[in-house]
Amino acid sequence: MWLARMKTVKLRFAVMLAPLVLFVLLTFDLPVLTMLGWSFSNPTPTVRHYLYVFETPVYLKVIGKTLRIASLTTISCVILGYPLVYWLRGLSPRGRSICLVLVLLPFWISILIRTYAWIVILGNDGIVNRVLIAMRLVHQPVQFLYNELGVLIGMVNVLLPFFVLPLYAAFSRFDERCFQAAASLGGSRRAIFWRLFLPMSGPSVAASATLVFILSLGFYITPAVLGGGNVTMIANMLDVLINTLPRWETAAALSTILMITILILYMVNYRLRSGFSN
Amino acid sequence: MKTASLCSATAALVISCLSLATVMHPTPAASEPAKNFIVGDSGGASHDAAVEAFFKPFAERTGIQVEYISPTSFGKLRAMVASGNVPVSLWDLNGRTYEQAVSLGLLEKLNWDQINPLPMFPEMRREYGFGMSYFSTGMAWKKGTVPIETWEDFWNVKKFPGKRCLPDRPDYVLPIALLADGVPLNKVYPLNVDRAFRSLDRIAPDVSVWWTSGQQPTELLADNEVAYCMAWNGRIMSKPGLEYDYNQALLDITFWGVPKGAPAGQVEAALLALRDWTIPKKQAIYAERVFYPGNSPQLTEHLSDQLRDKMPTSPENKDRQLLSDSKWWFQHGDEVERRWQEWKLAR
Repeated sequence: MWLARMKTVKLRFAVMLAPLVLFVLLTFDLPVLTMLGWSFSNPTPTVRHYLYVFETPVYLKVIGKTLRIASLTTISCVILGYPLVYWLRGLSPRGRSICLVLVLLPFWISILIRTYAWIVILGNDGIVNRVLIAMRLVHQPVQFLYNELGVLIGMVNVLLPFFVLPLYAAFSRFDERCFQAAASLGGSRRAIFWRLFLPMSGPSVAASATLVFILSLGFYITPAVLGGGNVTMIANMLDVLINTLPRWETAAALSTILMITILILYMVNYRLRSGFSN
Repeated sequence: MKTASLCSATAALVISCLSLATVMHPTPAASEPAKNFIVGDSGGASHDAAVEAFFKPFAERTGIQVEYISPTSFGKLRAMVASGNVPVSLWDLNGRTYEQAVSLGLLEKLNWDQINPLPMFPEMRREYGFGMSYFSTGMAWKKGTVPIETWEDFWNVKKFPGKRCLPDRPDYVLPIALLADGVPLNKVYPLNVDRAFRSLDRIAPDVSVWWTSGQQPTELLADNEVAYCMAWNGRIMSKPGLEYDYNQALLDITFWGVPKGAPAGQVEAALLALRDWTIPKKQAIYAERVFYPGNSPQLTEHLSDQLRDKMPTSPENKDRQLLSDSKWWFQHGDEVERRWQEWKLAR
């Protein structure tokens, strides 16, 4: 009796979920599968598109550049974000929520606007260069934009909250009594940080950093705007391959490579997260 | 029982989705012009002028509504035709992209009897293209910057310091790279592609921005972000603080083309509008605003002397400019495009 009722309930859920499942299948999974199919067909099954990607220096160069920019972005986020979150921990609850709102604030502004705002701030005639010249620190405007530096600044700005928020959530789960115990045993603040807090935070830092790294691999707008056409990442190259050349099979092969890389990284991220929550 | 009804519900959903898809792609009926059509153009100042001089009066007179999408790119056209879903009836192209589109079979043949144009310059009347206006792409800078005269000056960063801005397009950049390397105007075509890329390697470190939208050069010059740009004459000349020079600029034609597979009824409506684009009085309104003269030999009669001298087609300006060799682009366009992208990505 009870079993039968469970079955009806389950079936009802299945019926309610069917439209969503069908929608996702038709509009998301099907196109992704079609793309996978393209990357392996010519129109007969082949792996030549993959061979082409790996044999052409240009593609390898762009993949390398993307990995480099993504790594630099991640490292910058860790260097800037870790002290911030550590400092947040020590604040009063009120101060903490104010700071968190400040961290979250950029989320409510469109990424396009945030990216263009950097042009106003960092341009030759921008605030930063004017101040630097007025203070006689430099004679000529510093070239912040339209190179890798500009792209890096823009990406760190967008991705910092993605590092700070999960890390903050992880830190707030730490058991305060551990640190109290360490202090009661005579540990100095420095010793507690280096020998207890830092090792404890390791897995969560790694998890947040992988998340930032994954997100930065697919960046399109920031390199397009702040790179001025001088900095090409994988997503920008996909745009060229799809919209300009058009060489859709190569684009499909590259997307597949990118997707597999990201799936592997997600697995790493998942392992790390489940590792430290246990 | 329940499972069966679930199956039939799913099946019904799939069928209704499919039938919805067919409803959304009705087969076009060619007999009568539609009540609307869609135009794809480059946007900006020339779009505003086109609406004011041609499309708005046309819509008021005929009741046919014109809708717009912008900006256009060759890749977009190619992707649209390849996908088979073509909502646009008119698409703007330049001399090079027109030839490339014809060679790839992306355009419909134009029915010139149906357009029934007033007199036009012969080079504006093509099998697959309706030449709407001339435009020029050349050197531009902000007032107060040291003027330059040649592409060799543009390449000479020591003598004329400051960052540069060039279009992200091989058809504009390769010819001027040869001019900058000392090739005389009449020897640029057929393009020596290797030499052009070697010349580009010299200027590339000083190029801040490779522009993709015609609005970028005007903004970058106004903001002191770059000192010298290669830009479209209309965009620069319609801004009071900026200077444009016709010397060694590239003279080209903007075409309207009909993308292959465009809805027949709407194309018919669009062709009705094209006749307006041959009326010299309307072309004068357009040229006054954006300095792009139209296809009518009678246009000059409708322009003031001062304005006439400012046009890219005035005899004095025309002789100083380079005409693009569309035949060359027809043969080599695809291969050069590929090389261009690889050159850009490899840096």
